[in-house]
Amino acid sequence: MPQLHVPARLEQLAAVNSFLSENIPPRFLPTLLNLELVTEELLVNVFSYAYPEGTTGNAEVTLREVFFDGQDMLCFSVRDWGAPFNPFAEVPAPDLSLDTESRPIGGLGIYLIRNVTTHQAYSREDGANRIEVYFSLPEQE
Amino acid sequence: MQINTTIQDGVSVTKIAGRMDATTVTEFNDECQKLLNSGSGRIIIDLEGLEYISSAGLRGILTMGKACKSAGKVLAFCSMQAMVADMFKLSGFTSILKVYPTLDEALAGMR
Repeated sequence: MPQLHVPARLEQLAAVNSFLSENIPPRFLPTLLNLELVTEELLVNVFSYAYPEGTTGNAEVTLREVFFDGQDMLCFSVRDWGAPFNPFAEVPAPDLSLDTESRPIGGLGIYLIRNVTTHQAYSREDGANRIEVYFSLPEQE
Repeated sequence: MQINTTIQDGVSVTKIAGRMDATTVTEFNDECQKLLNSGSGRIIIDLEGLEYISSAGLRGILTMGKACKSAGKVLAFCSMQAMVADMFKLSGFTSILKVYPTLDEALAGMR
């Protein structure tokens, strides 16, 4: 199972993207950009909020294929050992009806993840946050 | 990320190529600051070469949209690749920002 441990720092994003390109199963290649998006959104959260300022923790990312409810899916998971945080329960959905002046800057990351993945899961185990997201197989052209 | 600004028909056209993510968006923000400080009242951001945008990039885009609105400048985006177009649409940006399929159409829309 392809797995990568990185220090929780923004500069690691390029290394994680290389890991994704090298390990994504070929039939999921059309979802690579969305996988990179989900990865960035999740890791930026970990890098920014999981560990106390001035300390560097770790993050672990894993890529595996899962047969889920009768469908082949790509499961991407991120673990960190920081403060408990369930973004899917704690981050409010953005109000997309607001005009340019009233739209707050930010708050889109988790919303985008929900929209480009089929399932999202969170668990807290052994002092770690684990997030798993599932991508459906891209439609055949 | 590569950024290149030229003037066409009196309009600032900024071409962005590569990836706009949490590590590169500051380059875009810096260019936007220059555009805002310049005398140009009409600005097109041409995204033809942009293959990827994340929420960090979208923050930069919205910040520019707000700044142009309050400065009374006209701002438009054009030529988005599929992934970038998806993110604009999901974020509701296509209804609050001017978006054109091509640079020619954006230039025509600015006249």
